[in-house]
Amino acid sequence: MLNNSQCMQIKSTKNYNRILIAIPAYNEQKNISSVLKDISKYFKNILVIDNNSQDHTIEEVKKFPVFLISHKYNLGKSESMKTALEFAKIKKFKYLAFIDADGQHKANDLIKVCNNLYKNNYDLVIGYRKNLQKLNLKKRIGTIILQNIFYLLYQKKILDIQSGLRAFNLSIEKKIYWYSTGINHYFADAEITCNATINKCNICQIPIETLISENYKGMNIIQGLYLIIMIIYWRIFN
Amino acid sequence: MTIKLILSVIAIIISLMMLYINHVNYKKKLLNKFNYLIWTFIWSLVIGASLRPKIIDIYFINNYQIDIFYILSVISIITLIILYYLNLIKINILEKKINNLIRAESLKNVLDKTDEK
Repeated sequence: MLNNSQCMQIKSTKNYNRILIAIPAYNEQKNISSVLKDISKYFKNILVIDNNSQDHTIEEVKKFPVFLISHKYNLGKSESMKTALEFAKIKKFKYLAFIDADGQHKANDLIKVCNNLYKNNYDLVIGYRKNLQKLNLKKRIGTIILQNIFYLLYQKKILDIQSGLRAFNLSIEKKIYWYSTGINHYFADAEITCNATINKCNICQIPIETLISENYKGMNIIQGLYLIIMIIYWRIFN
Repeated sequence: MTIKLILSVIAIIISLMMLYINHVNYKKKLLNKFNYLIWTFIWSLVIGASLRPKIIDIYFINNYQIDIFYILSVISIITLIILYYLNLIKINILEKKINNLIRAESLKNVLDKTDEK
């Protein structure tokens, strides 16, 4: 829940109507309602991109006054993010924020991300998980390895390169444009972070709470290794 | 000798299977007549070469002093790489087209609705 000062902060901010909150969703009928209920209290421009869900995600989304884009086939997270970007450009939004549909992020963290974005004039704001110790050992080690490899290659300490909670100014759209698709569609967040770092965008990182559900799968070792290869690739060729 | 025979048998079985798959794909209209005939010719050639490998061996050794196995290995590897590359490019182009089409259509639907409002 938000405290009074945070609520005042929101009310005093005129720029909230210039930000689009995008939620890529696939088979999230259990979580999407609570996510939208939380967010719609504070933001009026919300876009859900449904990736041809096979459950009742669309029906749940339709209960809320939000924009809904429905893909006829599952194109993956990366393409959903591109759809959101296109929509934001057409509707002339200034900022675009992404949040996961599985309910792992809190609304007040999204507010913190958005506030940091335009009040401090950052190009990209990334929320990083501060409760890493709650992850199991394998995932914790994986995250630390990724952090260090990233630091080694990009000379910048980014604590959660793959965070799903992020927002950016649309003016840097061309600098951070991502091409991850197909089998590596989940690497779009990491690619955005890498591109923003290479192009010396003004990046801010803020700690966020992450609710790690039992269904949270994360990446397996092979995907982790593949991501490392891609991080090296982006460093050389992007 | 036995290894050569086993390799020939394997090549013939695979070629016959490919001839059948080629025919099925032609019936499904996934291949046009020209493609069908070309691939039928190629697989028939492989069967012919597997049945009488010595004819080709003698021809190449007599005329060019080279071993047919060496030529076939090089040609096969190059062909495989070229085919893999072409397929990859074609798949990527198709994937891009489909993605753009689906995204454009979904965007159009939602923009039409918001414009109506």
